[in-house]
Order: sequence, then C-alpha cells, then structure tokens
Amino acid sequence: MSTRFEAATFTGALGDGRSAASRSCEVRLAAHGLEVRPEPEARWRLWPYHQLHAGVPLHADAPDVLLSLKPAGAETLFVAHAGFVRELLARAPTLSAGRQRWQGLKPGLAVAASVLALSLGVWTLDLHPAQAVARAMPQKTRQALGRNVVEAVAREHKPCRAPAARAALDRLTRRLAAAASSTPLEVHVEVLDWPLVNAFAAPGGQIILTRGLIEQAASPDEVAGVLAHELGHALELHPESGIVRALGLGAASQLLLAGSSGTISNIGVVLAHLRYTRLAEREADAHALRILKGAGIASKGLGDFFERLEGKRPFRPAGKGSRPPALEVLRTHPSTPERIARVRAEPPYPATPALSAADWQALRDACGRAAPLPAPPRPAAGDADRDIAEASKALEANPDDLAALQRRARAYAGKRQHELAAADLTRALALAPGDAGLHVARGLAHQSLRRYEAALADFDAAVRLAPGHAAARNGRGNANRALKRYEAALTDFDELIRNHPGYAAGYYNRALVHLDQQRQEDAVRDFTAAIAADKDYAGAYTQRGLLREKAGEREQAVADFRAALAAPAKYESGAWAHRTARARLAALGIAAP
Amino acid sequence: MVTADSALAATPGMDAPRISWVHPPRGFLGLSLLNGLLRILTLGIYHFWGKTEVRQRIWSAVRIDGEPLEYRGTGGELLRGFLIVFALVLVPMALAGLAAAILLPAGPGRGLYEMGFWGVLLLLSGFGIHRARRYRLSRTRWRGIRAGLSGRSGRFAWTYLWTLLLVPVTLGWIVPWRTVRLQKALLEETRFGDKPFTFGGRAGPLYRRFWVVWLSAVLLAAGTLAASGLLLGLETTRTGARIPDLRNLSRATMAGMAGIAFAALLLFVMIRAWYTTRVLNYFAAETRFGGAAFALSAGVASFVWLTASNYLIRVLSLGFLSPVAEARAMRYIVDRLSLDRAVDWSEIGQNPDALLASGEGLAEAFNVDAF
Repeated sequence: MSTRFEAATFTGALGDGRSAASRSCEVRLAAHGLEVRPEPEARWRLWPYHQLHAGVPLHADAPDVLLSLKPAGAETLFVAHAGFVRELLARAPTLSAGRQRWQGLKPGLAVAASVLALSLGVWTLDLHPAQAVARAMPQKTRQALGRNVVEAVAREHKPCRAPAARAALDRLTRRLAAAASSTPLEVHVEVLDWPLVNAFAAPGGQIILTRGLIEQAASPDEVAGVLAHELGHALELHPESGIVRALGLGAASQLLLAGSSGTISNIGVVLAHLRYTRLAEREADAHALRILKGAGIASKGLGDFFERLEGKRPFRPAGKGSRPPALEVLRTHPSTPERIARVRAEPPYPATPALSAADWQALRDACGRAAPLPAPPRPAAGDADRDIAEASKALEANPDDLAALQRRARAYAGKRQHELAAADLTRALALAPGDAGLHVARGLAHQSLRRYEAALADFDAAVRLAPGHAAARNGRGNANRALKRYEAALTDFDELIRNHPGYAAGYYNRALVHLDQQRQEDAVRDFTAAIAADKDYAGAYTQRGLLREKAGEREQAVADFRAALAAPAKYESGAWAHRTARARLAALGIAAP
Repeated sequence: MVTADSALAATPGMDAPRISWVHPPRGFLGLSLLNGLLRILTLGIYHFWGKTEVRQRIWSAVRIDGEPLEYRGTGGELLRGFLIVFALVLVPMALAGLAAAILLPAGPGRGLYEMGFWGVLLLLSGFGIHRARRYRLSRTRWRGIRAGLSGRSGRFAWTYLWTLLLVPVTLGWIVPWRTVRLQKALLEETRFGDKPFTFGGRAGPLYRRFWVVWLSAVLLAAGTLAASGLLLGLETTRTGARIPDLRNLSRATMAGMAGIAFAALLLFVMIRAWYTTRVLNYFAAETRFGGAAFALSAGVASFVWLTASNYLIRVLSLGFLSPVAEARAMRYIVDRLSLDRAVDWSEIGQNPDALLASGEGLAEAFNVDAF
C-alpha cells in the first residue's frame, strides 16, 4: 500500500439510480472531492465533499460507507474499506456521527431552552396559569364537571342517602360553609358505600366522603375536620385547577415527549402533580383551621384524624375476617408530622361537638350498616371498671358532665348493670333532652330489664327525634314485638328495611315476628334476606336450619347449622346460635367441627 | 497508483441474491443509551432524530448481495408528521372527550358517543399502520432505488376496522383470514423500484394450525379453571368452610393456582409461537419478487426466545433499550430469509412515485408510530 494516500485508489460499487444493477468503479480521494470512474469509462467524475451524504453517520471504525449526493441524488457509491472511511472522515468531517447528531440536537435544545425560560418566568412572576383558567370557568361548567366525576364514582360505589344521615350531613355542611365564606357557597356532600378511608373534593363544590372514613372516625369532630379540609380545596378551586393542569401538562408532555416510551412522560406529569398537591394540602389545611374556628368546632378532631393516618392512633378493626381498611388517603393526602404540629399549635377556643349524638349515629348508619351503637363494641371488664371509676370522679367534680355520664352508662351496660346504666342515662337526658342516641341507649337498658313499656316509650321518643335512626326503629320494633303488638312491630321493621336495606338485623327481627305468628315461609324468606345482607349472621343460619329441620329438609338444615358454626358470634343471638346448632347437629348424628 | 483491496465480492453472475446481516461494529447498546440521554436533555424532542439514527443503523446492517439498504428519512419529517397528527387528531379528540365529559350525562347517549369515539380511534389506527408503512418504504433505498407503497390508506383502514369488529363476533375464527387479507393488501401494493411484490397466500393452510391454537386456548382456560376449582375444593374440605374465603387462602393453594395459571400461559405461548412461525414462513414462501420466491425458516424455540428476551429488554430498561430489541427482531428475520433464484436487477427501474415521495406534504408526514 502506498504511503501517499492522495494517490490511493479504492474499488467501489456504483449504482446509477436508474436501475437496480450496480457496476464496479474506481474511487480516489482528491483535494475537493471524491473522484469516481465507473468501469470501463475513462473519464473521472467529481463528487464534491460538501455535497456528500452518508447512509449512516460515520464513525472512524466503520468498515464501509454508502455515499450519495445531496439533496436527493439517486446515484449511490458503496466502498467497503475501513481505510477509505478514515480518510473520507478526515476530509469531510460533516459526515461524522458527532456533527450529524449536533444538527439533530439543535431544535430540541432550542425547545428545551424556551420551556425552561417560560417555566422560570411563571415561577418568578408567581403566576398560576391553571388556577387562572379554573377561575375563568363559569360555575355551571364546574358543577357539570363535578357531577360527572361524582356520578362516575357513584357508579362503582352506591351513594348512601338515608334521610336522617342526609339531614345530619346537611346541618354540618351548612355550619361549615357559613364559616368558610361570607358569600353563599354552593356545596354538596355525598356519602358513598365504600370501605376505602378517603374524602375527595370534585369540581363545583362537590365533596365525596366514604363510609370507611366515617366508620374510622372516632368523633363527629374528625369528620368535620376532614370536611373542612375538603371545603378548603373547593374554596381554592384545587379540583378545577387540577383538571386544567392535568390536561395542560398532558398535552404538553404529549407534545414534548411524543412517541417516546410513556414511562418518562408519565413520571414527569406525576412528579409535577405531586408538588402541586403538597402545596394545595397546606392551603386546604389553613382553610380547615379557619373554618373550624369560625364554626365553633374543635380542631382537635382534624389532628386526631391526621394522627390516625400517621399510625399514631389505631384504626378500628373493620370486622372479623376482612382486610384492614385501604389507606388510599395516604397517597394523595401526605400526612406529615409537620401538618399535625400545625393543627395542634392552634390555641383552644370555645367549641361544641360537630354533631349531636343522634346525628352522629345517623351519619354512621348512613349506609345502613349496623355500626355498633356504643362506640367500642364490648369493653373488657377491667376497662369498664376503670371507665366507671374515672367517670364517677369526673361527676363528683361536675355532676352535669354529659360525656362522663354517657361513658359510665356505657360501662354499666357492658357489665350488665342495666339499672345503673338507665339511671345515668336518665340524668344525661335531663341535660340533653333532644338526643335520640341517649333515648336509644336507655331503651336498650329497659329492654334488657324486660321493662318493655318503658323501652317502647324511649324508642318512640328516639324515632320522633330522628326518623331515619336505624337502631331506634329496630329497638321500637323489638319492644312492640315483646309487647305482642305484632302489627306495629311489622310496620317498624318494614320501615327500617325500606330505609336501611343493608341492616341485617332488621330482617332477622322481622322474621321473629313472622315466627310468633306461625308464618314459617315468611320467616325463612327473611332469615335468608338477613344472610344475604350479612353472610356471617350465625343466628339467621341456626333459625333457618331449625325451620328446615322441622320441614324435613335434613341436608339443608345440616348445611345451615354448619354455616352457623362457621360464622362468628357477632350479634346478641350469636352464642345461642352456636349452642343450638351444635346441639342439633349432635342430635342428627353429625359430628360438629 | 495502487489499487486497494475491496471486501466486495464481485460476482455479477446469475446467483440468487444473498440476504445477510452485517452487525454494526458499535452495536445498538451505546446508541440506545445516548439517545435516551439526549431525549431527556431536549424534553423528548430528540426522540425523532434518535429514532432516525437507529433506523439508519438497522437498515445499513441489512445487506443484499453485500450492499446495504439505506434509510433516507429525517428527524424533521417525523417531527412534522407528529405535529400534524397532534393538531389534527390528538387535540381534537381530547377536546371532544372533554366536551363529552362536561356536556353529556352518563346514559345511552354517552355510551353511543364512546362507541363512536373508539370506532374513530380504531379506524385511525388502521390508517396509521398504512401511512407508517408507506412512509418507511418510501424512505428505503437500495442502490439508490426507492421502495414504496401505493394504494389508499383509507381503504386499508376500512378493511382493518370491519375485519377487527368481526373478531369477537366469530369468536376469533376470522383471525387467520383477516391476517392473510391485511397482508395481501399491504404486500400487493408494495414495490421496489417499478416492480411490485406479489402475494399468493390463502387462509386455508393457516387454519390447519389455527384450530389447534383456538382449541388449546379453550381447553387451557377450562383446564386452569377446573384445576383451580379442585384446589379450592381441597381447601374447603381442609378448613370445613362452606364457601372458600377467597381473601384468606392458604399459601399452598395460592401458589398452586398461580403455578397452574403460569404453566397454562407458557404452554399457550408455545402453541401460539408454533402458529405464528408458521404464518411468517408461509407468508414468506407466498411472497415473490421479480420471479423469485422468498423462503423464511423461523423456528418455534428461537422465536419464543426472541420474543421473550425482547420483551424483557424493553420492560427492564423502561423502554430505553427498545432499539436493541428492534435490531434483534430485524436480524432474526434477515438471518433466516433467502430468495430462491436470481433477480435481474438491471430490469428494475426507479420508482415512478419519485416526485410524490419527495414532496413533504401531509400525506408523507402523517407517519406516527405512536398509534
């Protein structure tokens, strides 16, 4: 090989661009371009270096090169020689991969720089473009948007519209909304039958509370705190801005990250969104504290709820065998110690409970689930004694301490000292005569003491105070049945089931009325309905099993007794149901598990 | 004057053309990572240029008689095509969706609207497939001669849509027929230079394997359900519960059910690959160009390995290494593809669509692989 490269001649394949045939040619690297001579011609033709286009951006280690002439020359020249490529690169450096890529990078860098400048501008001038667009939206549009959001969620999770709960919720919403803004605020709150612990603000002042959240709250003040927080979001138009922002960012990222793998673009959008969310949460918290103070509701509830989310307070078990409540709320509502501290730092102010006991119970029964009436289901004996001691001490200091009276009555009832419980509840009712929950509790005490007339009077009063109160209606039905007023009892249970179709005990108790009146078939139907409402209803299985055994349906009866034993003893009839089912199985000669 | 040696084999005889893959010395890994980096740096805009360089490199690795294919598309063209689609399709559809969300309440009207929305989307995807293929072929050259796709994208899109709608109606039995029909529509309109490809494929030979796929899908689904039911039954006899508590299954039962489902899926993937390789090989054998027939020898095991490994490459790299997977897929075909007799290259003239192809109008710019 020659050391004078100018003189080196290489062999190539030349395509003339008119047919797909190619012919061999000679190529040499001259001062201003390639000199190409197709065989067998004698004339050398010049391909100027600045007009060359390479099939791929060139690297010095490329083994071959395909060349053509810009802009769209159909003639091609293929030279398979590494030395030729190196020499060519030295003379026509624009063909190199580095130079080619730089050309492609320029538009992208220009766009990136302008986006950066724009964002900096928005940032330094403190502009909120999404919020500005949201404010410009007419209220009608916002409400239509929000209704669609709520409807979409409500398709998956049934709204709970028990009249008493509705009324209680409306009272609380009005109280908060009046404190939220001096101008009338259009707010609508909907409770959905959803075990998730969460609350959402949708556009147009539409707020969703979940059954899970209400069940997990230990007091109405906690629900009020969460509601005030969501009202804060609504006041700041956060949901509307969120939708505008998501649309804008989505469009921008689609535009910018076109076609590239979705992963990058999505991560970007989510990160941007999260930052806004945290800011928005802080604003909503500030509003919540202001609203609660204005409404005269203690902000402690909001702090308690945050602590529950932080894991400092336990969540209630959501029932045997079911999973722990989904803590979805954590994802969008970052609950940080700093937020708790801000709430706790609020100086105390005069406050009253967010809801009356009756309203609170009605709200807890909104979805027709029998939430156990006294908040902790069955306190251990030691706890009850301690509660009695502490409450008695508080009552010595202040005989009119309503909360202490309620606490001691609950503890007495837990220890089956119903006489004492009734006495305390009578004192409590003198202090709060309009509280349906107190009437229900005293009615239950009378019922346990077999003083059915007195029980009926209490349940009657509770139903008059809160017509949608499930436990009140149920209690009156039971009292009427005990007094053999079967028609009245049936009316009560019919009404209860109509308003709370998920309240399993309603069917069970109506079935007992049917049994008293010898209507076995109706009874079987209602026990079956009770099981449909709660598949763990041991008493309903045993009752139905007894009826089936009597009817000669042995196998079905055995299946019912077995199911009764497999179900937990959740209701008062539970222990009886287990005992009876075991006895019947033994009598039928079947080994009980 | 010294003549340097060339690696070119200069045998202009009438042998069948050699189709081969010459792996680029730098491979595709570095390029993939560099493209990913530059894409992030430019907020994604470089995507189109990166994609173009990947195509240039893949195309140039494909050699016919030792000479490379050439990709002549540019990043600017892809960007322009995307912007047009963005303005004419994506934005109007997003606005239409938003308007529906605000104005239309849930109900039959909304359902009808959503059906129409999806219909348009499916129609557009058929349109997009044809446009993308036309763009890529028009930017593909060998020895300076352009390939191309004639025919109307709209007609292809209709065929694509109505045959797709028949898939659920026929319980999937239309699939082989549809595959052949779409392949025929695409191939018979494909040309290299001024010569068309011909495609003589029929659905009949595919059905000879397809019924096995269909039946195995049904049997495997039924078998999986039955086996899972058996496991659940065992669980209930153990626990004594009347109905198995699906939220509290024992670990053994859950592992058993997952294992059965996975084994069934694996078996189905193998059976499907057995069918797919048959489709590929059959389609190649029925494709002719200039009197020569193609032959492809895709095997089941190698195809399953390619598909599975490419899937993992894409997923595990979050899409950053897609170019590696694309190159591997192209190499898989090229390594196994041949022509059975010589083609007289001098008979093949330049593609007459030349002028149209170089016009940078909407038609050519409509290429977006994204949909």
